[in-house]
Amino acid sequence: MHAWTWLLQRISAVILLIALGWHIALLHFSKGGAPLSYNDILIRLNTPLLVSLDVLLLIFGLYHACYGVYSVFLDFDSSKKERAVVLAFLIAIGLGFAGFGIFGLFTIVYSA
Amino acid sequence: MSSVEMAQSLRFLHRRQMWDATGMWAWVLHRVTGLGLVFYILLHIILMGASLLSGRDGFNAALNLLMTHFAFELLDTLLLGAVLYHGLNGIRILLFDMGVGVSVEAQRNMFRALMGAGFLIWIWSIASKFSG
Amino acid sequence: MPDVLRVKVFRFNPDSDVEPRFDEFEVPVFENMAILDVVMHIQNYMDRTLSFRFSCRIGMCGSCAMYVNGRARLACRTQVSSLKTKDITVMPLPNFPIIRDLVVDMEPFFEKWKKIKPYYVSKKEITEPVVVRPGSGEREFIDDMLDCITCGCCYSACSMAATNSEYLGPAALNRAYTLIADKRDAIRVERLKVVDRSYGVWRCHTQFNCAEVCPKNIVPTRSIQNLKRRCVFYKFGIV
Repeated sequence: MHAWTWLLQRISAVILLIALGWHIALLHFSKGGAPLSYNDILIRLNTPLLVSLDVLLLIFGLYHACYGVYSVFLDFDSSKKERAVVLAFLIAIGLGFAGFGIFGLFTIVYSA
Repeated sequence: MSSVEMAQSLRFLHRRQMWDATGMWAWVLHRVTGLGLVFYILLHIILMGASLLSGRDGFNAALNLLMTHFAFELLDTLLLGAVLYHGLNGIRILLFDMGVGVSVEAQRNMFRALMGAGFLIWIWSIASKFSG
Repeated sequence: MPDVLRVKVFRFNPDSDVEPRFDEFEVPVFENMAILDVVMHIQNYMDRTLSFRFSCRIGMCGSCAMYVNGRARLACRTQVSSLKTKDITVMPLPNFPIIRDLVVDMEPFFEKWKKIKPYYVSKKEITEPVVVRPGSGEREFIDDMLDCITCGCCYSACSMAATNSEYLGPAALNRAYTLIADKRDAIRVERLKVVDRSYGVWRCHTQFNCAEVCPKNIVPTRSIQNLKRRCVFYKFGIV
């Protein structure tokens, strides 16, 4: 299992380097630093490509984050039970936040 | 505490780890920025999701505050620093995983080069942000 | 060069001491003096109860590893002059239980060493000598990593070995690599499965502490990185 999750961590890292760089450039530098408005977001979310970017960020960002935290946890001594509990908790957090984020995105996309 | 454990605990008082190793510091900071970014990403998702779902006015108010208030601008600068550090050191790690630069000398040089570049990017971003 | 060294030595006798202490000695310097000479002088002329391990005194047996002025080093191969100071602090290796003074219990280290089966197992079908062409580069990487004298310096420098008591450690993983990469060995896959665990290769975060301290200039990080790739390739059917 570890070989796969480790590989996915690296793959998500590469995806994040590109997607996050794009996200930061887009959202923080596009209006010359002026605050973004609801309208700006609506325009952006009407572009399928940019919605996909956000979904990618959510999924791979949360995977990378949860695997990272799990890795920190494994660096210390723990029992089998503790590992199972932490893993379950992290999976719940990952899926929960990704779910919430995607739900939020698509609510806006389909309501506008 | 057993006597062996007591003897071992001196380790922290008398510097028995290797604090003069570049690679170790690189890892420590990678971990610190990583955990900071995890905390941030969870906060960010909640904040953005909730404010978007609260409607036009709620969202505009939230973003106005976040993108103009000086305290948040400062935090933003730190965030960028953390992202740059974690990302660039991450590139260094990806290179190691591909078998590039896996030697004591090379990894030190890679670290310095990437951090130099990162620092310049950071300064440039701050300058362009605060010069309007 | 100063005439006299100010040496602080970690002392602890579990039979008689409640807690450890540092004893201070002034040791006269001679040319080409090594740290082993320093502790031997203390034991011979100043305090006969000082305990430490040594054997060959020429950097081959790995017995005299100690933590000197911030790093794990071989006492016999560390010149006093290389430390560039006359204040010297000698402590037992970190990450090991302490038996007495500078003597540590190497059992955890060797337990992990044994776990990866650190010996060549011949394939039964091989009846003729295996041909390894000099120009093929097959042994190039492996041969560099074979010099390990199991001194424990890498294990004591590793922060993962410090926080995780199950972690196999750089030395065991390095030795595992030399055999897993050896095409003649019969149990390569079995060994790969031992290292492909959360307490195996996946605990290494490429800090390079091990490579910094190895007295034989081995880079265990390189072996471990290669092992990680092999673990991934194995999942895709490439052995």
